[in-house]
Amino acid sequence: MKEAARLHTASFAQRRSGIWRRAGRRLIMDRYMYLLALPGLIYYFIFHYLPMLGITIAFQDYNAFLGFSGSDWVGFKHFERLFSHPDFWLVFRNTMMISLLNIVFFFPTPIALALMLNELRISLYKRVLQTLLYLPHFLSWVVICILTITLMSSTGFVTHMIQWLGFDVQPLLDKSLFWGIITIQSIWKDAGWGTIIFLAALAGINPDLYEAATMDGANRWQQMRFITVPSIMSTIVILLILRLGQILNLSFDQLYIMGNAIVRDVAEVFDTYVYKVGVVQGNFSFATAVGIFKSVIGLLLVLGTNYLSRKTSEHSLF
Amino acid sequence: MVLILSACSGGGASDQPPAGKAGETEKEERVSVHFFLSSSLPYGTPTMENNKALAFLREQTGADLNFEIYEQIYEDKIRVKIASGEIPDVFEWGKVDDFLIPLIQAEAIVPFEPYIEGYANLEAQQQLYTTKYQGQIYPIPDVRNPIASQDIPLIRQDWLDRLGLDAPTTTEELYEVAKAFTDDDPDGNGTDDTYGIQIAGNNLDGTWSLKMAFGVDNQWMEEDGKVIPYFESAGYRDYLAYMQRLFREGAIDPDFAVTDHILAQNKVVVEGRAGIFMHYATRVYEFEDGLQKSNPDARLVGFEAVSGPDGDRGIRARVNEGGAYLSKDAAENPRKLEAIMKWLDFGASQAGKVFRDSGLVDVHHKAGQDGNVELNQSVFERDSPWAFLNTAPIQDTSEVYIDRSKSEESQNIVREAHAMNEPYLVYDETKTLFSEALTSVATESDQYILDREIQAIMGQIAIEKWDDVVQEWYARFNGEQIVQEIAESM
Repeated sequence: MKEAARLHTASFAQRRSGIWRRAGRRLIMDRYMYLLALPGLIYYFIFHYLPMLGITIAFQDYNAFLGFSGSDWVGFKHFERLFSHPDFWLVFRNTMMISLLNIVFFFPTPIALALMLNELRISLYKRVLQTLLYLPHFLSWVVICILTITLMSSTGFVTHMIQWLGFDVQPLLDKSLFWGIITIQSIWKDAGWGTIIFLAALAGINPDLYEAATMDGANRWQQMRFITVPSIMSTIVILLILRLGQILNLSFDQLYIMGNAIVRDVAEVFDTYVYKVGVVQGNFSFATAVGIFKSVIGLLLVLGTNYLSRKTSEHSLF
Repeated sequence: MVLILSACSGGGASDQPPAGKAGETEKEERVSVHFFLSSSLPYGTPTMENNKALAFLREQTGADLNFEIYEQIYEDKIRVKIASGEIPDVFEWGKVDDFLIPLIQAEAIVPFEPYIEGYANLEAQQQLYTTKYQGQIYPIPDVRNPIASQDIPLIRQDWLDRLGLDAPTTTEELYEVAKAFTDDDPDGNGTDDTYGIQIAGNNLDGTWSLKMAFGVDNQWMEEDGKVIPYFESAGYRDYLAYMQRLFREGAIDPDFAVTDHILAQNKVVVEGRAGIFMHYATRVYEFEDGLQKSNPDARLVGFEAVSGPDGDRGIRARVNEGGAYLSKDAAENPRKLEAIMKWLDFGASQAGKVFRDSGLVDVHHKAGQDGNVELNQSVFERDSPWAFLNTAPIQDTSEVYIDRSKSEESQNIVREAHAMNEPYLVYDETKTLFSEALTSVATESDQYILDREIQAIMGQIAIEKWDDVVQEWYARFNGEQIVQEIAESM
């Protein structure tokens, strides 16, 4: 009995050292591969993992002068302050609404655009069109917002058009129009850019499928419905899940510039709010607490939708 | 024995003049004063060894002045220094805030106020030392002429001439003129594309002189023996009603809520759409480079701040809030204190200005003809005389914002605009008052009031409802606490 145990331990030890030896051998064999990977690993460690220690300041009354070690620990004080703030639900609602409008209207636009571009026959026309669609992406939000303000001010072209049609509104000073304007701006700026990834997915579809479908007598519409869309479905689902992870992150520049005193009730979102309360007032702990809150919500949504998607279809992130 | 005695007097007990051969020993045992200053140095920190500028200042004050001067890292340096329990005799800081309050309470720093008397150059500018705590002047700031105000009223003279109007002197006249500028086509182009007053929606630049016309002249005011924020005062309500009326009549830029200060400025100096603008007088120069290039007849000139229904009028005086603070140890050592006061007073003198601008004659510059100086650039940069001074004489009003690269006419307009408004300067000593409760919510609180002020001007909040806004401010930002803290620091 004792003997057997001894033998077992020995063989276990032997096996374990075998694993290490094999790992070591592989490490030496593929040393150049690992060397290649090293800068990347160091990069992720230094710039992505190390800074995560910084989330501790969300639980401190962080004082840059005292540092991480010297600042007082205050538990969930900053989270309590966030949740008990009179504007919390307002800010939460605005952020969610703008984000949902984005997902409903902005997210499908590049897919539709990519499908349409895919059907174009003349390649020069297609390329010119693609370039034109990409262009707005390279304009900064400041430029786009100033343009919007100029077009939509009381003497602006858009305002004149609207008034000519018989509506008496000032688009920039109307709470009910604000979310719409923001969504249209986002679509105008980035829908074209968003087609790139879908066009790449479309290019990866096996042409044999289309050939076979043509033989079977499928028209263009049927080919799109039964070959193209199912083929890029996993790309769509993965991008949607990733997009949900960013649900509480909006474009700060856009909302900061477009917001004004009259529409503040619908324009204040977490990003602008954190800037005012956290960064300008030097309250970094509070800003970090809000950041953590946003990330946790995002993480829950990613895990939730990923789970649902795995249960209902074969597409999922992991 | 002699050795021990002199060592003693060199250290703490230097207020007792050393016995014995007075003349010679005194020179050797100059009191040492330690300065901690910040600087935005264009040439880097000055070299202390063999620095003729520093030697001159030591001679001037009769003390062994020692300077530590830092650029961007200054704030960290002084924090570490003071945290280690060592307080320099004189150090620079901004207004009285949560960093200084504990030092004041621990009596580690003391007000400069009691020591200013007798130093003529400092006395002359004492009115500009507005950073106070419990009524006492704490820092001596590096002053500027307060007329460099952001509230100088500017108006289109050519528009007035075309409509046969005079520059307004009261808020009612201002209303009439602004309305005429909106309705009567003052630029004569036949289209309805002008309006009276330009203000900016992101900071309400240009409204303070109007607030002051209604008696709102301080951030914190006293009404019926109670301290209140300016937006709670009765005058502020009158101001809102007045602005509401102007806006309703189209006399204010209808887009001001979405017009930031840059766009607002452009509408006046480039596009020529607004006729009245309260801002820095230097806008006249941009007007010269902007609208006047395409429309040579256009004239933007200054006019006097308008007076309100009760005869109130004013423009905000521009003052520096921070400055040099005095440690208690230095204040209790008469020789140190004398050296420090001499140092401050020299900086505020005309000789100090020459020293600051061009250093010492025959060392840093040579005197040329007509009072011009020829700078010895390399020596001047090495010694950086200006880095050692933290006070300056007030610039003459006729020299403020004079840009000699612009036309003679524009320079004169700026000069006149400043001269005619100088009598109406208002010094707000409550702006720098400290409240810890306010500091933690300052940005939010400012934004809260700014947003609602704009909504009220646009008529979206009725004047009768303004009380609710004020009450909500108290509830939201712990206003009672803030007001109490402000009252305590008054």
